[in-house]
Formats: sequence, C-alpha cells, structure tokens
Amino acid sequence: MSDVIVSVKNAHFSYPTRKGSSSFELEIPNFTIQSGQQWMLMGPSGSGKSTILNIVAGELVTSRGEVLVLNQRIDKLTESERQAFRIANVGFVFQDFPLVPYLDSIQNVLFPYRINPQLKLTEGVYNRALLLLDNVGLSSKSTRYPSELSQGERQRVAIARALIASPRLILADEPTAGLDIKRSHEIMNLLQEMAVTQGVGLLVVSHEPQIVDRFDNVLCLGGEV
Amino acid sequence: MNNAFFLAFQYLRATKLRFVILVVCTAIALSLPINTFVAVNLLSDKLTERGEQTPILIGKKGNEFALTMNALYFRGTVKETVSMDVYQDMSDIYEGMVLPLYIAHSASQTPIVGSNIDYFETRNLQLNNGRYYIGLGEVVVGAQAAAEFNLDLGDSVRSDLQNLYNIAGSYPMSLKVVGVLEPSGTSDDAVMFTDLKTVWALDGLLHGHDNVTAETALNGESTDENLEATAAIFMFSELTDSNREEFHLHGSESEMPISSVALFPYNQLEKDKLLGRMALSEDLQAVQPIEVVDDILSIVLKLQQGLYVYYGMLLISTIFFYILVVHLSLQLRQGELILIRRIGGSKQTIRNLILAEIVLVTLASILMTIVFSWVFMLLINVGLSQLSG
Repeated sequence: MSDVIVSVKNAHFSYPTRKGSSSFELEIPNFTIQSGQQWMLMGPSGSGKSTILNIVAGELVTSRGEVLVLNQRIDKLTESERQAFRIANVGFVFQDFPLVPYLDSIQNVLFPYRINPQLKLTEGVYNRALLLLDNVGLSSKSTRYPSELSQGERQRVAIARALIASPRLILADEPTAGLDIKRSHEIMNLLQEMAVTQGVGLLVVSHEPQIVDRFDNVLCLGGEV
Repeated sequence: MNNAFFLAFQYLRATKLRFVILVVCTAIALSLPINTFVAVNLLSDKLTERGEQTPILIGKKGNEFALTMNALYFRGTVKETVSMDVYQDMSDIYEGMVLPLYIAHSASQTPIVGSNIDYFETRNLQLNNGRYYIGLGEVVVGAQAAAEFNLDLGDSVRSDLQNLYNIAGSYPMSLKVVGVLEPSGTSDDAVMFTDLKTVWALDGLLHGHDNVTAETALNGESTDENLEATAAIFMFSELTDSNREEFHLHGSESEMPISSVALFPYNQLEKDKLLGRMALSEDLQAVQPIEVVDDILSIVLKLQQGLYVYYGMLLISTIFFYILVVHLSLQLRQGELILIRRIGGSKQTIRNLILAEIVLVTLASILMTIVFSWVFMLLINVGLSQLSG
C-alpha cells in the first residue's frame, strides 16, 4: 500500500474580511494524494484553487475539517511549525517562475538554502543542484544570470529550485498560465518527468483544459473527481 | 548571517552604480568632519610649534598679525620697516640669539628671506648640498623651492620686478644658488635665504655701476672731489666675481631697513625684561607670535564649530537619503521578497538581508572614508608645509 501524501477531509475555509462585507467561504472537496500520484486541481478563476494549494502548503489554515500532509495535521501546527514543515517537505513552482535577478542559475537553485536557516548548504547539496540543472538540461548554463536565459530556461531553473530540498510534494500554481499549447506541454512534461524521477507527489493548479488529459486524477472545484 | 551577507554582496555587486553612489555619498558625509578635525589640528600644531619656536618679534608699531605672518610664515610684507640699529641695539643688550629679518622680495614668486647665517642654526636647518651664503648675490634654497623650480648648485635665479612702472626703481638681479637645504617640514622649505646686503641690493640701496670719471660725469655739476653721474650710467644687474667689489652702500649700514628682529631670550626673566622695555617704546612693538597664533586659532576653532553643525546636517540628510534608497530598492525587490516568503523565508530572513546590505555599505563607506582622509592628509600636509612651520 502506498503512502498518503495529502489527505483533505470535510475541510472548510473562510477568509477573514473587513467589517460589514461578506466573507469568502470555501467548502473543500475531500481528496487524497497517494505517493507518486500526480493531481490536477482545476476550476475557473476565483473558484478557490490557489486557496486550496495554500492550505495544503500550510500558508493558510482551514476553519474546520482535517488537512493531513505527510501524516502531519498541518492545520494543527503553529505558524512557525508550518513554515518549517513547508521548507522541509514542499517544493513550489509559481505561475511566473520568478528567479532572483542577481544570482546565477546554480545560486538560484540553491536559493532556498540561502534563506532558510534550517537548510544547511553542504557540498552534497551543491552537487545535487548541479545534477538537477543537468536533469533540466542546463548544466552548461549554471553560471548564467536570469537576464541571460530564455523564458523556457528560466522556468527550468525554477523547477530545479523547487526540487533542491528533496521535497515529498511539489505544488505548482498555474505553471502554464500565459503559455501557448506547445510551451505548456513542454513545461508539464518536465514537471511530471521530474516528479517521477525524484519520486515526489505533484499537485498542479490550473484552469487550462489543454493539460487536463495529462493527469489521471483531476479535482474540479464543484465536487467532481 | 553568512547567507544573508552572501546574498547582500551579490545584490550590491549586481547594482554597482547604486552601491558606488551610496558609498561615495556616505564617505563624503563621514570624511568632511573627520578631515576638518584633522586639518584644524594639524594647522593648530604647525602654527603653534612655529609660534613657540619664535618667542619675540620686534617691529614697527602696527599690525601684529602682519608682522607675525611676515616673519614666521614669509607671507606678505610689513607696512613699515625698522632700521638695522634696532637689531644692533638688541644684539648689544641681550645675550640670547637675535636675528634680523628682511622679507620684502621674491624670485619666481618665492619669498627671499634676508637674515644672517645664524638663522640656519637657530631654525635647525641643515644643508643637503653646497654651502651657506658668504657673499653678495648668493642664495641658499629651501628643499621645496629647489624641487619646484629644479634648482641646483650654480644655477641662477632672477629676482621678481618690484614695480614695472617705476623707472627709477631697482632692476631684477640675478642671484646664484650656492646651497640647497634638507627638507624641514616648515615654511623654511618654500623660500630662499640670503644675506641682508643682497636684499638691500635688491632694494637698490646697495648697488654697483661703471666707474664715474670726470669724462662721464654730469657736466656743470661735478667737481674734482664730487662727481655726479648721468642717468645713462650702466647699473650692474648681476653680481659677479668681477663686479662684486664695485657694489657699495650709500649711507650707513645702521640706517638700512629690515622687516623685524626675532629674539630668542635665554630665559623668562630676559624675555620679561625685553617685553617691559618694549612696552615703553613709542615706535616699536614686541610681539609674542604664540599669542597671535592663538588669536588666529580661536577664529579657526569657531569656524570649525560652525562647520560641525553643517556637517551634522549633511550626515542626517545622507542617512535620510540612504533610508530612501533602501526603501525604494525594497519596493523594486517586492517580487524577490514575496518569493523569499513563499519558499519558506521568514520576516527575520528579510531583516537579515537588509541588515547585511547596510553593514556592507557602511563598511565600504568607512573604507572609502579612510581613503579620502588619507588623500586629504597628503594634500593638507603639502599645503601646511608651505604655510606654517
């Protein structure tokens, strides 16, 4: 039996709002991500996709229900505990694949180690960063700065960065937004291939139907699975 | 913090222009009060030292400041001279060193200091090359003046014309360099020294010309005993071995002018006696240069205090400027800061990054301030050696 990476049951989230205005309420469908599974979370803009992603990441906390990530009740942790948990177990890929402009590719991949005291930068980590750059086809561009890379190359560096701390789960927030179909599939190929290679769970949030066929598990907001 | 310093260094390296501007502005704001403090202290030390080395100056009653500046720092001329008999009287009365000083001429804008050979011993000036002056028309050149005009033994220097439009005045004379002094770090480095007779020759009071004979004398005005020359007679403009004997003084040496007399009494009693005596004089004054120097320095110190207020404001404005730059740069780096937060960086991480950047800019500014101050020290030392002793 495979491990459970993420399990969400009967969860409800409400955004705190200003006095007098109606709050944002979200009933989160139940779902479970097993180890090695790749899930897509889709729905129209404003349906709460990114909110669910942030709840799984521990950036937001549900008002009720149960959110289990890697056998840990993340909704019961304090903010600093959630942060430590996130650093140790979760890799992020963001919509615009932001890189630090003044760091070269290898240092961008190592960036999580530069800003998180709990991650210790060792020679082994450095070698892993080189290996990840090699895996995404950028071994010859490890000393290039973001301004010297193409958009596709920058996206690859960002994916390598998401994997540097050996996370058990990758959360990708709209990774294909604004890209054409060819480019979208290239990025998804890489993400899914890296997730398989590294043996991590993958949860992709997107509202674009052209990539839905790539996933065996799709959660549509509205309850359909 | 190592990682914070690494990232801050990388960021500053990537924004070199902004970094350099910040560092230079901060260094200027820091170095101005430091350099002013150093300059005022150096000036104070140099002026005080020279003032203390010259206990008393005697000159015509009038401007004490002008007398001191002329005798100690060879700046300007005195309005009225005193005669050599003042020096002779002082020499007769006092056992301490008494020096006549006559500073009224220059060569290539370099002051010519007329005195006697004791000046060198009194001021502890050593020869680097050659010998001291022993005859008319010979000069010993200070180290800085020699270097500036590339003067060496045997070279000639021409005195500056006193007044171009005074056709009855004396002409420039060619003077021979017979010695070059070791650097002393005082105002003596930037001048030339000669004996009093040579300075009087520059005044035209001691001069040489062709022999006046009955044939060349003014018709109708001459007798066998008293020959009066015509204006066409040839005046020597250079002292040479062949014409040196022809130079002569019209009048008594005791009536010849000098700027001042410097006195170095043996002890306080002798000094007090001298000051008491001079207080009774109707036309002479005894000046204690250290008191004049103190007066000058009190003005400089007041100016310095005013400058510190101004520098304080400049420093505050630089700090505000720096805060503004950091604030604007954080706005520009919002994307990076959001990324830090989203991949696990804490607020403390961001604070550490900003702190590391401030520390690096401050360290670089301190280094730049040291460089600025070092260059300033070199310049101020050169400037002060010309002004003071």
